[in-house]
Amino acid sequence: MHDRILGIIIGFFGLLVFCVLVFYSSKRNRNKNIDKYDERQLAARGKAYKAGYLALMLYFGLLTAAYVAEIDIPDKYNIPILFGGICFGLGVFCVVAINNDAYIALNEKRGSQMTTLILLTVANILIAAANIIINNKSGIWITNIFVALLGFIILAAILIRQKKADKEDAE
Amino acid sequence: MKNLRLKSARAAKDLSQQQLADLVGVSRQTINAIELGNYNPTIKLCIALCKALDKTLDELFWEEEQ
Repeated sequence: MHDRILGIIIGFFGLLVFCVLVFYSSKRNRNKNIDKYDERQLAARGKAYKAGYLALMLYFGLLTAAYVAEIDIPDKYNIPILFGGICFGLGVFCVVAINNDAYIALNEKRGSQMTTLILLTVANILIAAANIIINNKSGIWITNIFVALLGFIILAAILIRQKKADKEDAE
Repeated sequence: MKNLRLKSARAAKDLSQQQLADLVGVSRQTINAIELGNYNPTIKLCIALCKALDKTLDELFWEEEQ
């Protein structure tokens, strides 16, 4: 019980630090017109949002089918399973947007985006590993694995797209 | 259909795709997509491209009937 409360407190402060960093970063970039996408990117992002939404619906359709089939899932996995769906939809959106060069805004730097993703992935892997080591039976730490997996997939998609773009430029 | 006129106009001005993209406020990939014929720009972007390359709309974007 104390471990769980400690985990919640640490998670809350981690989130608070993250929010403060995002707030000051956006304040610093306010004059630089952050998150600016050109017309082609906006259209491509619209398609990516649609793909992500359909992926989310598919996931929840499968979840409903599992429920109807009375597949027994322990209650402690309810939140991770729902969160997994969100990560799945988000992952599909990101991959489609990256593939259409519509993920990174005009005035965003690929390097800083990738740094953030790497930090996010590593932090979540460490949190999940820590929970495995202390044998946390709550199951909520599985959400950290989903986030780490999402971060890894986005990083891989960015790198693959960059390689493809370099090859196209060379041709 | 590829837009070779845009590509040659850009080359005549000795501009890279990135430089032209920066001039008109779009991404390099958008300029590439327009040149390859994979994206049809809006009239607003067409006008911006014409201004950047000192060309008219007809010179860059008019399609001859085949």
